[in-house]
Formats: sequence, structure tokens, C-alpha cells
Amino acid sequence: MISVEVQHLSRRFKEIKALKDVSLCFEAGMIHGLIGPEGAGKTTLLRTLLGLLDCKEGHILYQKDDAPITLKKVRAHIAYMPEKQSLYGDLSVREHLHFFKDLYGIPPQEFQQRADVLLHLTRLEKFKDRAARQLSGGMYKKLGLMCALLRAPQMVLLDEPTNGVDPISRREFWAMLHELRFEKNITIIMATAYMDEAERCEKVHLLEGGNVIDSGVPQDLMRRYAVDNFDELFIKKAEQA
Amino acid sequence: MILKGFIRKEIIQTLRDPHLGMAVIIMPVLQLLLFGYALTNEVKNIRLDVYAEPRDVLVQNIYDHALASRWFAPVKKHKANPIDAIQSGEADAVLVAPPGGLTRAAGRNEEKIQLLVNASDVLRAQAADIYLKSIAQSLEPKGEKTPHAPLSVSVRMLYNPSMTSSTFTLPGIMSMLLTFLVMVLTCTSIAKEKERGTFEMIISAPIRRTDIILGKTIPFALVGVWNVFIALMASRFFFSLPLRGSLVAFGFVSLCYVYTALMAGVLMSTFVKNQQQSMMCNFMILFIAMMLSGCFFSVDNMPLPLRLISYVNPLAHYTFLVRNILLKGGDFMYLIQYSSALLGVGIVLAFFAFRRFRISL
Repeated sequence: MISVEVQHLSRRFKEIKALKDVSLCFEAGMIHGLIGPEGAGKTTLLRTLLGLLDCKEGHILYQKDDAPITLKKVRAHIAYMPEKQSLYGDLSVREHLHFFKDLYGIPPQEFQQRADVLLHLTRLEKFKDRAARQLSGGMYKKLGLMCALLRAPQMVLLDEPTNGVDPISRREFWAMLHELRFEKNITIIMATAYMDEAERCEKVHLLEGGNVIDSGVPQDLMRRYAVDNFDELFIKKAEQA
Repeated sequence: MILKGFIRKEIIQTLRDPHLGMAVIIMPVLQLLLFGYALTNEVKNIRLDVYAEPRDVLVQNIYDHALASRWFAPVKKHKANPIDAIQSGEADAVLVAPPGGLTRAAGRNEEKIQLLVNASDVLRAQAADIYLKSIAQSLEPKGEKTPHAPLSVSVRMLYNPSMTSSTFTLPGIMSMLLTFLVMVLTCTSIAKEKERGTFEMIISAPIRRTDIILGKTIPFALVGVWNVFIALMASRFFFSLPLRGSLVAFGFVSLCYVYTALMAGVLMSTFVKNQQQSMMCNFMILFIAMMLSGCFFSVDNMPLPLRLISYVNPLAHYTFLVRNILLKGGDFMYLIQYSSALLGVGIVLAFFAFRRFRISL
């Protein structure tokens, strides 16, 4: 099981400071939500956690089974699903799975087993030969998740996976995440701008303008701020600011 | 395993995209044929008119020989005077006999015929001048010594005896098409991955920079090799382009060039973020490389600074090598010298390409 601790992390893109002295703890085996509006720094944080952006100011400490581990070594166990449409529109579901199998170096027998499980989990069995561009928004996201999960990761970073997806597909997606969390004990860090999704997480980290404004269990946070939902919480915070 | 995945993906995507598939498989042959026939230095069909007495046999003889040479064609409409014929665009050149006729003037040893040429097109004008002088010389009576030609020079054209233009231009066109396919496709393919966000997904996997570079280049290396073969076959079949040197030597230098062009494509991809930038960047580089390659214009005629640039232009080295192998049979020392230069440029490009290629955002 993988856990991550972020200490005083800052990240600048020329004049824009995307992350400002961020300190967070992502405990193992939980669903963490990075909640915040557009431009809060969620994507920058996820990319830095994975090493896609270099960590110039601050530290990120990784632990696997309670022992420190380097990013280089831990990367093999972390899957990532970017926010952008990151699949090949002209390749079918099956072709995507084969491409990522080769990319991750998964042996054929193991691949077949994992692919069957994932196709069943995502209910994409019937659409194996359909091109990615012909899938619905929800199915497309599921395919992205399936490609990320193919290498049996211990931690999954999801960048706004339900963005632009209809409510039913979103509910199915969340059901899938909970299944992964409880059956496979995977640590999930998910960035989202949908405030209602915060309540589905086990722990949320509220970001705004590159700052972490609070962290905690969703219900505790709502009680503390005396609000009914996270929309109200952000409005209250904005008024205070 | 990673390479297998990339190669399979690229092949599927290339074949599945009708435009790209056509660009890779059919277009090179079509372009070779089109350019092979269209890009020629030979000036033909110069419209020639004649102003002479009908009984002036000597002028008529020159005119008939000129038309028979096929460099000249008759005008459609004979104008009232020679200047009108040029002015109206009806004729490119006009033969004007002296008063009383050339035949009679020749009898007085005053054989001078005037040739009016439209020099607004310099190339056609120069060609008309040279062609007609050579026709007129060939019609001079044998055995008579003329004061203008004291030496008789026997000219023998080697390697391209018929002076066929396509024999000169085809190796250049082959090199150009290969560059376009290999360099542009590699660069644009990487730029496309960046633009569509698929690059982010790929680099999130724990793979090495070398894996991605090889994965993105090997499929296009195969495309390049395939096109070298097709271009050679088409050149031989349609234009009877000779292959006087070794096929192995030709294959070797082509592989060296494919490698260099691939590295140029990878290096260029590190400067661009999307397909549009890639196309613009490639167009500019390719245009300069083509102009300074000797494909169509001799590098030796260029000023020294441009000649120096051509020394680091892989397209120039490959074009020289292809011409040398195909037309002259391939000199071993020449092959070693230019292949080394080609590989040297390739190694330098690879060094910078690997240095600049990042597996981060």
C-alpha cells in the first residue's frame, strides 16, 4: 500500500504560482478528493506527485508498505488518468488494452486475466471492438480508467475523471472506484471540480488559488463550517477571504 | 515489448487513416511520377516563326531542322512582321532572313541571319539561342573550314549520354520524398501525441525516453525503407533510371539517411507543441534543406556561406550519394566519405534529440 506526504510544495509557471507552500498527507488505502474550482492547482499537484512536473520547491515523500521508497521505484505502482482526452480515437477498446499491455510489459496470461476482470468491472465487454471515438463520454472515461488499471497499480491518480459525464455514468464510475478501494485496497487520489463528489471521498483536501484551505473527513468539514454541502463551504470561504 | 506495442499502434493508425495511408503508400509514387515528368531543365516547344522568301532554301532548311529537333514548335498564326509576332506572344523566337534571302547572301559570303528572341524568359531565350546556333552549325557544308570554328571538339557525355533531365532530377526527388515522409511524419506524430494529450498518458507509464523515441521512430523507419524501395522501382520502370552501382551500397546509404532524417524529426518535435507548429517548422527546414541540397540547383554555384551550410545538410550528402551510386556506379572512397558525413550529422542530431526529448511535461 502506498502513501504520500507532501511538504511545503510550491510550483511556478513563469509568473503564475500554481501551488503555494502545499503540505498534505495522502494516507494509504483511502479515496482522497482534491476539491477545488478551476485553477486551484489540482492538476499541477497530481502531475507533480507522479513526477511529470519536477518538484523544485518542497518535498514529496513516498512510502510503500510503511517503508520509504523513491519516486523512480514507486512509479511502477502508480497509475494515472489525465484530464484531457488521452486515448486514441481510432483504436478500439481491445487495441487500447493491447497497446497498454505492451507499454506496461504485462505477460500475456496475466494480461488476459486482468483484461477480463476490467472489462467486466467497466461493463465494456460488449464494446471491445468499438473505436474509442465512438464510445459515449462515460464509456470513454471508463476505458481511460481501464487502461490505467491494467498494470494492477497500488495507487491511482485521477484528474477530473467524471468531467463532462452524465449523472448515471458518474454514479457507475464512483461505484467502480469504491469497488477498487475496498476489494483491492488501492489508494485513490482524485481531482474534481464537482463539489457533490467531495462527499463520496473518505478524505478531502480543499484547494483554492494554489493554497490548501483545509483537509479532513467530508462530514467533519461540513460540520465544522456549519454548511450542508461543499458548494456552500467554498462560498463561505470566498466571503471570508 | 514496448516497441512491438508502438509499431503495431502506428501501423494500425496509419492504415486506418485513409489520408495518412495514401500519403505514405500511394503519394510518394504519384509525386515521383509527377515531379519526374514536370521538373525538367530541358526547354522544349519554343514557338518559332520564320520571315523569309519562300524560295530561300537555306532558311527553310534551318527552320525545318529546328522543328524536327522537337525543341521548337511552329506558331499557330503568322503575324505581319517579326516584332508583332514576339510582342503578341505568338512566337518565342523569330528567324529573319537578310534582304534578298540567305541563300543569295551565302553566295556573297555574307551569310547572316537574324534571330529575334523573347528574352523576358531568360532560360527559354538562352535555350533558343544555343539550339538554333547548333542547328545552323550542323547545316554548314562538311569539309569547309569556317573562321569561327578552328577547333573541332568531340564531346562525349558520360553517365547521362542523352542528357535526360529526369536522370538528374530523380535522385533529388527520391531524397526529397524520403525526407518528407520520414522527418515530417515522425515530428508530426510526436506533436500529435502532445496535442491530443496521449503523450501524458504514455509518459505516466514507467518507461524510458529511449523506449518512446525508438517506439515512435521505428514504424517510420519501416515506412522510409518501403518508400526507398518503391521509389527505386518506379524510377527504373517509368524513367529507366539506371542502377549502375551496388544495391547493397544504395540500401546502406538509404538506411544511414533514414536514421538521420528520423533523428532530425525527433529533434524538431522537441521544439513544437502541436501539429500545426510541426508542419510549419518542417516546411521551413525542408525548404531550406532542399534548396541547399543540390537536388535541383548545383551547390557549386552557390556563395561560400551557403556551400558551408550544405556541408551539414544531410539531404545534400544523400542526394550526392544516390546520384553517385545510381548513375556513376558508386566510388568506394566517395561512399565512405559521404556516408561518414551523413552518419556524423545523424549522430549529432541524435545527441541533441535525446538531450532535449523530455518524458515530463
